Amino acid sequence: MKKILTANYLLSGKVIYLTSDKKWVENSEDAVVFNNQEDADNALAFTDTQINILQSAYLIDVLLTAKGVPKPKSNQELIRATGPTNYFHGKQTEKN
Amino acid sequence: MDAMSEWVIITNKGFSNDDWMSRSVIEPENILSGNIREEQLKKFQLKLKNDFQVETLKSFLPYLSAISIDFPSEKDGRGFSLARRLRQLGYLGTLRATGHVIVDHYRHATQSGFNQIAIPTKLAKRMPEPHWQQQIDSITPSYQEKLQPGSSTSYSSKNNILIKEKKAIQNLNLNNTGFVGVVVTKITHWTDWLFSFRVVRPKNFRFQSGEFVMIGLPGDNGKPLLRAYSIASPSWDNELEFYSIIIPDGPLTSQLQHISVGDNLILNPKATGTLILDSLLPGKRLFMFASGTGIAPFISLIRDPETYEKFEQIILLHTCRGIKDLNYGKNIIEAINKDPLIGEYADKVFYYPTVTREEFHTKGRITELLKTGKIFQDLQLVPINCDIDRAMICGSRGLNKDIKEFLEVLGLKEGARNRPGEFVLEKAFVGLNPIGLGSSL
Amino acid sequence: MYSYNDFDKNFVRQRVNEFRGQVQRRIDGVLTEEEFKPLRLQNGLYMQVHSYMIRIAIPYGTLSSKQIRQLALIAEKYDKGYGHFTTRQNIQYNWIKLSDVADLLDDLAEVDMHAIQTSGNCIRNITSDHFAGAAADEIEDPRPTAELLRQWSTGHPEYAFLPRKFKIAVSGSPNDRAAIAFHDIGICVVKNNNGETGYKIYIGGGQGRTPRIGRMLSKFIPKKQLLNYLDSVMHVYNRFGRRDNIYKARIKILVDELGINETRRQIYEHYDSIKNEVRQPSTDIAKFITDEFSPPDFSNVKKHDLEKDFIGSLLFKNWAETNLTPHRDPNHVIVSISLKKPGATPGDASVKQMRVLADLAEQYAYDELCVSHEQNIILPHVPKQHVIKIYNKLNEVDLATSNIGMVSDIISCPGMDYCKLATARSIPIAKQIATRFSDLKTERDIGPLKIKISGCINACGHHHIGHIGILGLDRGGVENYQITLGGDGTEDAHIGERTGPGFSADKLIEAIEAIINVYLNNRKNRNETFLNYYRRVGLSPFKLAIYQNKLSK
Repeated sequence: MKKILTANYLLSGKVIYLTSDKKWVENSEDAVVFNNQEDADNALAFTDTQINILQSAYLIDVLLTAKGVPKPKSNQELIRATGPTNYFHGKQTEKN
Repeated sequence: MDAMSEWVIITNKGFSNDDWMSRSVIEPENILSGNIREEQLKKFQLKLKNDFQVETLKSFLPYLSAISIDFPSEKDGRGFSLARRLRQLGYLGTLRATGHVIVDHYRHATQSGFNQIAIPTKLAKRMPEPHWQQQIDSITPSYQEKLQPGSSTSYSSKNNILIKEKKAIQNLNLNNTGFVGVVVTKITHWTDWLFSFRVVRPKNFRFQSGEFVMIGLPGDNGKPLLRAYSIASPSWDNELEFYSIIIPDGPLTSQLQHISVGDNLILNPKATGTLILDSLLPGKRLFMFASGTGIAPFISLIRDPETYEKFEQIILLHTCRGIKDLNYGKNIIEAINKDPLIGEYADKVFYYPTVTREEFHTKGRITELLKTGKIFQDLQLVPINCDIDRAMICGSRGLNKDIKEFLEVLGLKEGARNRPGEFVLEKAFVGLNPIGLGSSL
Repeated sequence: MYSYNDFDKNFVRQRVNEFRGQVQRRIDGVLTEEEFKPLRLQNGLYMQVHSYMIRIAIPYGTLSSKQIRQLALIAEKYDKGYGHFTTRQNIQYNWIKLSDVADLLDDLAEVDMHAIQTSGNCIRNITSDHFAGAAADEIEDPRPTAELLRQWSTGHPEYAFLPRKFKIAVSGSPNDRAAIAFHDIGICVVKNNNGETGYKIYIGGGQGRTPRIGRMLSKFIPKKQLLNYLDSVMHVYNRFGRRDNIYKARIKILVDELGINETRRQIYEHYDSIKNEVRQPSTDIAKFITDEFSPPDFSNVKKHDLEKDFIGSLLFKNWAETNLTPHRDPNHVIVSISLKKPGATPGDASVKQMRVLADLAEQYAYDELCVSHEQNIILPHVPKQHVIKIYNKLNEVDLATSNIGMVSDIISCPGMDYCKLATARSIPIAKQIATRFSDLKTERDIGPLKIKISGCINACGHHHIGHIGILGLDRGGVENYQITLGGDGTEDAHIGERTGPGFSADKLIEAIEAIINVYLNNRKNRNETFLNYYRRVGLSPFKLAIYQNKLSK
């Protein structure tokens, strides 16, 4: 299994991902990938301490690209990570 | 953990102690099985699940005084419907929302008919009293109240101006006037032309049950526009209640009918009047004769335990034009047996309503019904006797005159404040309004 | 138009303050997310795919120029420069921060607007006919009734935590443009045999997972009893609607399970017990509300021959053919402004476009606009002499698309691009179909055809009532689109029939084209619309056409 942990900031609503040093970033490619359920569950448990800054937190399935970068598996999470397809705005404008 | 620490009770005064601790809990089955006598029911607290068919309890509601409805989750709003239904079915006792009720439900709870909320102590820790107090303080009239006929919040542009004026009252400087501002806490419209309202009782304001006071709004010239109103609440109550007629062109009542909860009124905190217990010589029975809104001072006296200490029987005779005009008095009299303070005296009260302009089981003028003796037959009482009977009169000029003559023929002598007699009559309002208490204001 | 009095203004301000407090309580940890969620939803605030989304109430769709200007300002201040008009006559913004919401609501309150009850398990924004007050076929303007219901349902203490959401629509005309048969309660103004005006009531209609046509609950309810009657409906629903299964919680399921007769009996049991005691509303309030909707004075407008304006402007003539509707006053017309330019996102309007709409309403159209449930903007009262000026101005901002009621006038929900519930995208599908058929000749040849697209089973894109309905689903991680045919949201209500297995996004366009070709090649004549042809021949020729070539997988 390959999973990453995602959430939204409570106040800004921004889509964020957990990194290996337990920080939240907006780019899903920088997220830490969990290879087993125990690590994933531990990370999820960590978010319980942050309920007042997070809107919600959950694990999503990812695939790894050739370079080893995580890419969300589901269409919805892909759109969530990159931005809507009808306008060029959202996260896609923030990446290089 | 003992029961005391498991629940926190919230009323419109904030966190409160649980005054139901001494009540045993019963379930609806206990009542429906008929195992509890009706007169015993008032001692219990009835616990209802929020899917209970409350209509089945209808005939028991007058005997119950404490009902609690379960709120299992913050998403389940069935309890609000049950509360409103119980009130529609005539339940007048205390209604408690028990369970997962959050501060943001306070408005829904009170506006659906609850007067108490009970939450687990754990929840109360997360939502301490100041959060609740903020909700309590910010309650404003709802759209649903406004849509009711005779609503206290009206629509026309004229009334928008009134609302602005009312805002001005909040800032009105009453320093050195002797007057005080009092906040309206409740308004009930009984008919299109009769309503009652309650205000917070100012600190240090003292009065005796049966007295009247001057209350009103600022007038056009900025001077207070006040009129005499009998206080309909008893002297121990921490709110003051008044009962008013609406005179369409009257400068005060035409405006006063539009007040809403939270508004400020002006009160001259000096109570006076002759309809007090001290104006009467000792006796056994007290007859109260009222027409129209003249019932107000008697509604005060009848809710004061002292009245029952001085008299063995209270006979209230109330005459109005139409049947609906009786509603205010009727509601209060019918609730006496559930009142914790005077409920035990309920069987001492004899209530005799009559109407003059509609078909009713007791139709006609009080004086006629007195002279023919029909009242005494109907109530199974002996006729008036000046040795044991005392009387108070408050009504239209005609009623006052007729009853006074009738009593004097029987040998009762009129008394006054500081000169006790066998009957007293309130002159402060006489000649002002044909229906009863009240001036052309 | 209804204008707020002090009561309304105070109420809305109060609710903004309340929400400000609720946000603070959430941040402080006094409220959990589970407790906060129903509260924010009752203020129209969702957590969506990229951000928070807020849905603003536009009661019965009616807006003034001042209000739409403020909506533009909000799009500029708090969003990315546009807003999305929805199928429930509301507007939503997709890129909202929770920390901005109370300020946004304050800005709305300035123009007498709010987001109250645009979501959550409560009575939602009341919708109505987008031609209200202007239509020639109207028995009565439905908006005073809708406004009365707005007031009655707003902040109702008893109905804030219903089993599920509750939608009410009102029509003042026998020609239903408000889809009342597809609402939890549908209300139609009618006259009884004595000539008195009252209401016919439908119950338990709706789309979503379990589409139902509203069932007749009452043929005639006197006007003054409407609130008591609806109170009884709501009371029964709140107490007895299912709460154990979210998919069975709508009132339509309660009606299914009880049957319409038992439902009616329970409602009347309650109604009979209250109707003589509570008299709602007070007559002066009802009259006041009605007076607020008094029509503008149309009498000063001179006669004008629109035909003369067509000379030399074929494009204007084409536009007028589809986008104008007769008005009840012969010197006026109703103008429908399409938010469906082929290739654009259906229902979206930019800040600039909203400001032009405001100017046009103010200068030429008695300062009144209406959002239609088909995601277009209506100018209900336009003097004929101003129509060409309006057209020219619209042309400058890409709003002069002449496709009202045509194949490219597609209703679409936001779909997976923005909505968390969606199982597929719908906007790209709408764009592709519109672009494919948008050349004027093809579109005019096809004639009236309503295509409606939903990105999930919840059917916000109203696919069940599209002449052609498209439902986007997820099939093993791939978007897949089912087609329904023959749906109709009017007084002749029908739920569309599914053709069979769904299509991938690229095959879908071919399938739609095949469907349209079946119609074009086989209709009796040009007067036989797509819907009439479908009703005559049924599903089979269409099935044959789309499945014989193995378009589906």
